[in-house]
Amino acid sequence: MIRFAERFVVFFSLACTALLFFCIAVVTVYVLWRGLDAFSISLIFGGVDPLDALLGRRPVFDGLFPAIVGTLLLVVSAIVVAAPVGIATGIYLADYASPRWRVTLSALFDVLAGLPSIVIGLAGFTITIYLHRLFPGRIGPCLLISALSLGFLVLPYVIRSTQLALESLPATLRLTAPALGARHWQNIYRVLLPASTSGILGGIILAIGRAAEDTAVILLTGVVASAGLPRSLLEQYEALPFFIYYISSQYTTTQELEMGFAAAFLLLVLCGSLFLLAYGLERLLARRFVFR
Amino acid sequence: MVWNGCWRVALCFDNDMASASKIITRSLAFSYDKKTLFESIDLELPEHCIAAVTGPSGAGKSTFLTVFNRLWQEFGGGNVSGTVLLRFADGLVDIYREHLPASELRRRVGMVFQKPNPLPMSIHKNVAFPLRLAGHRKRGEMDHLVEKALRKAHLFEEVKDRLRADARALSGGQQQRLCIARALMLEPEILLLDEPTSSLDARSCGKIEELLDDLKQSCTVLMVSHYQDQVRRVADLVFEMTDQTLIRSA
Repeated sequence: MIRFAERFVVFFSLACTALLFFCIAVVTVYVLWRGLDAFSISLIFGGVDPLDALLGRRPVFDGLFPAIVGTLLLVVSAIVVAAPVGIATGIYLADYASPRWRVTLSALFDVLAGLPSIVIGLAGFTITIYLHRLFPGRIGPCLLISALSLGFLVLPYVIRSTQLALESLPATLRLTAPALGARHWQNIYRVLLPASTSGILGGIILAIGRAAEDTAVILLTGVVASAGLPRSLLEQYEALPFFIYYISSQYTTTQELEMGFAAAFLLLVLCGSLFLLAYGLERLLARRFVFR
Repeated sequence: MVWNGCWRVALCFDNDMASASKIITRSLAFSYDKKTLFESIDLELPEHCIAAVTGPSGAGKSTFLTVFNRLWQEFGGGNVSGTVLLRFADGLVDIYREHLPASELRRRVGMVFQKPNPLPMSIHKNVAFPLRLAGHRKRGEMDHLVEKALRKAHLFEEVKDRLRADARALSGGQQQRLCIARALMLEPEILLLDEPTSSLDARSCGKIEELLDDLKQSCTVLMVSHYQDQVRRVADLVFEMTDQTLIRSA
């Protein structure tokens, strides 16, 4: 009986994993297939010469180029905001907070991680209105507010992954530097943080994915269907997830829907590239730590 | 932290009989969560000797070692009472009474653990690490000091061609000698060794025992060991931790 139960558990786990893998494969392949079908250079750059568009010599009106740039800027600025704050908070929780504070704040950040993004979007929207009243004509819905709101949205991932990475380091590693005369911050900066790089970057990769796909937050804080390339952080912008949402709810011809799939394909490629970048950065940091 | 002793006792040690003792404890006790691990330990160790502590597992031998570099404070909890005096080049220091920062103390009292613990860095970086922590930056001088420490630990010849290789790729015995070299980098006056050979094979073990004899010239060694025959071979003074205290063995 026990042997049967054990076999059943193994079979069930395997079956669930296989099912999940199958679903992911179907969705990815379908998006790639439909997207690649509609994919062309003119889809990105419209009628404009790619070089002119990349150098900013001519604006692109009927292509996805501004949306790609918008998403890229959005993700990078959200991570630039969230990473330092999140890592610092994670360090505090893992290494400085008293046990009671650690439990309380960890629970709080878990709740924050579960907060629907539309709620954070609404908060961003409210702040935008307030700022707009304070500085009429100068601040409205824009890239900066979207990036800050998205940064807030992904903050818990960075905090918790930093905290977990630091807390799961073996006690022997934790004690090595103090026994050699390291002060607490020296131990964190020179040993514990470098040793947790991969865990922290795991959180940042999760944050990149979340920031790149989120539509609810940007919908309320600055994204528009047509804006061209943003010239500053205080302007409205285009973004791929919003384009996908917009085109799939408003399409009139099959071709327009195909464009949505192409945009989804581009979003996948963009996320993949950012993941690769983060992974490359991790390898680079690890090498630097070991051999310099 | 609870303190029972008084600082005048320390002064009287200084004037009277402690002139040659490197490590002195008076009524030393340690408790964790109100459970006493050991108590009433009065110890006097002369300079340039190897003192070994034996005893059953779980008797608190490792914790006893961490009393001398205050490393137990890193675990949180725990309570020391009594007096611990260490004689450094600049005089007798009461390590729990005088405001000596832990980092400062640990630069003078080196420690090597039971399991080799090289940091995930190159061999060179590992050995240079304590000096870097102390703020030394000169590269040329550092190379020289790293070589010197590795030679003291009888490791230089084996690794001189791969100083920039990952330290974790070394064998267990080499890793342990690397850790000893790293601990020697700051030229500590006292070296604490927590069962330094227990995770090594007989050959590596022999090499470390050879090394211990050399170390005696430059520092006072306090070690914990499980192996009676090893203790007999290397130690000048042997103590046994039993019934929550430390007694001198024949």
